Amino acid sequence: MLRESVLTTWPRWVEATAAESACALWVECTLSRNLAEYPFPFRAHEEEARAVEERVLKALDQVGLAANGTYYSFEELSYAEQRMLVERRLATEELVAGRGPRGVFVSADQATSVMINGLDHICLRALASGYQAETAWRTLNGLDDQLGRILDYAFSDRLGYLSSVLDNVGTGLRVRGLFHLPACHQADEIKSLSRAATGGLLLCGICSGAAVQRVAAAGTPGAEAETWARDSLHADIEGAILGGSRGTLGDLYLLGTHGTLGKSEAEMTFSFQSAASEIVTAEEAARARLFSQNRVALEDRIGRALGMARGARLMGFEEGVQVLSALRFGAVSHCLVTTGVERLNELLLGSQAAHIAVSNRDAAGALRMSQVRAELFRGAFGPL
Amino acid sequence: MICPKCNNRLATIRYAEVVDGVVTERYLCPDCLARMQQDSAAGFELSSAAPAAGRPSAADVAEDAVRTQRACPGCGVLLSQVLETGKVGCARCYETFASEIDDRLESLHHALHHKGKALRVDDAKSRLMADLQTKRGLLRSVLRAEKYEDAARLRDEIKHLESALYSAGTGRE
Repeated sequence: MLRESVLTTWPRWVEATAAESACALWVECTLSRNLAEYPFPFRAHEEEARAVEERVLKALDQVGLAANGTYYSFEELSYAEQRMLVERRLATEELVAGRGPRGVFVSADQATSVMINGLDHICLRALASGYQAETAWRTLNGLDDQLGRILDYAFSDRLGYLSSVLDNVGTGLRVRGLFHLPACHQADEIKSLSRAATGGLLLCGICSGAAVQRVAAAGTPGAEAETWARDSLHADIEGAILGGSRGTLGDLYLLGTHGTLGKSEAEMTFSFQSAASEIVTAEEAARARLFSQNRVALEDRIGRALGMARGARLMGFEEGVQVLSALRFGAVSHCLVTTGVERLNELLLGSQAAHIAVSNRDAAGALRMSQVRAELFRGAFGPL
Repeated sequence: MICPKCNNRLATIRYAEVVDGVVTERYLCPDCLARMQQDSAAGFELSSAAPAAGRPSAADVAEDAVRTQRACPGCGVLLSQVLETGKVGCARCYETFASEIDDRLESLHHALHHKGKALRVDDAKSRLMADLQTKRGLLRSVLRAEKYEDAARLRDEIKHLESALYSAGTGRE
């Protein structure tokens, strides 16, 4: 069962402390590692997976991290609780879909997680507000060095850190950030931003799980699971990444690195931060232009969204994300919305299906979830 | 993740097949999935036509089938499974299927050599060296991108590291 602290507190990035968090919601660095002496998770027997789990947990204890967080074994969590951790980007779809001994250590501030026996034996993840990937990388690098002194990582002098997935060989580092770009989206500037994100970076729209084809693997709970996976962001393969031409949800875009071999971690984080800074600058300029050219239309969009948030009795997930986009625009532009960005971030996470299912035990079925979601919005913005 | 079928588009769909109770998962792009589903819906036709010019001979196909059934002695995974899923079973697979994996790595990353952090840099001097190499590499990228402010900052950091390395070498503060 998830601890009360995870259910009642939010990840640190939600506080939106970074100066650029009006556009850049979070940045995430993920590092993949494997132990040399065991088969990788998808080929390991249960005893081997259990041995890996014990070794890594012991290492976390030895480096002093275990005292500052909690380890959740996925064999003991309910499906809804597992998905809630995925929705908070503390765990991955692969961890949920896996079998046998596996789980995730979550730090008390939910800024760091250590996944065990997902795609790889160990997956370290650091989340922060804004786009300062170099800061998130430094946190992760320190932890990786400490663990690397205790554990025998699978490493090749030529190929670097070995992963079960050929995509992750080399540094094993992935950097991703979520951006809110309503002005660039409206001004049709996303394509030119995509061109600016070159050299191992990709800027893509995102979608909810509903837009991604799925086939339930044997053993997953079937229709109920599909509802929860449908009503959440980042529902598939390390974030639901689709090409920009297929649109996006809630004016949200994901900037991410691809390719882990042939470049250093410093180059990757630097190029990510550089592109992120350009994207934020472009968005701020586009917002200023929009307000000066078409203020009434913007106020109308924000006002209508506020009306929906305060008056709706049923709110679908995608609908809620679209409403939040307009309200976020209003909040950061000080136009009609007085609710803080932190509360909007809480709603973005909390309106996802597993969050609702875990916090409201009676919320079974799409209709009741829509009702609870609408109640959350009315609670945040005040009823009509 | 890049789609292993076309090696071109992003794999955004996880496709699972359940045959005789065994689940096989693949990550594909929408186009390759559509094509695969079309191919399996169309079935297959028996043809007695001679192989067209440029198509592999029966002997080549048989040789390829034997090659892809090679198994890793460490974990037992077959080369065909590695090529299909883009996943390997253990560290030893990288040696066992070296040339095939290198081909795949080249197409995924356009590189075949690790340039990131080394394993277990314990010694302070080695750490300084590693930092210095990283920053020099970064300076080259930054100059190529004509970001001169960042280049100036990196140059100062490199000078600082070089003098620290020199002091470490001579034992002076």
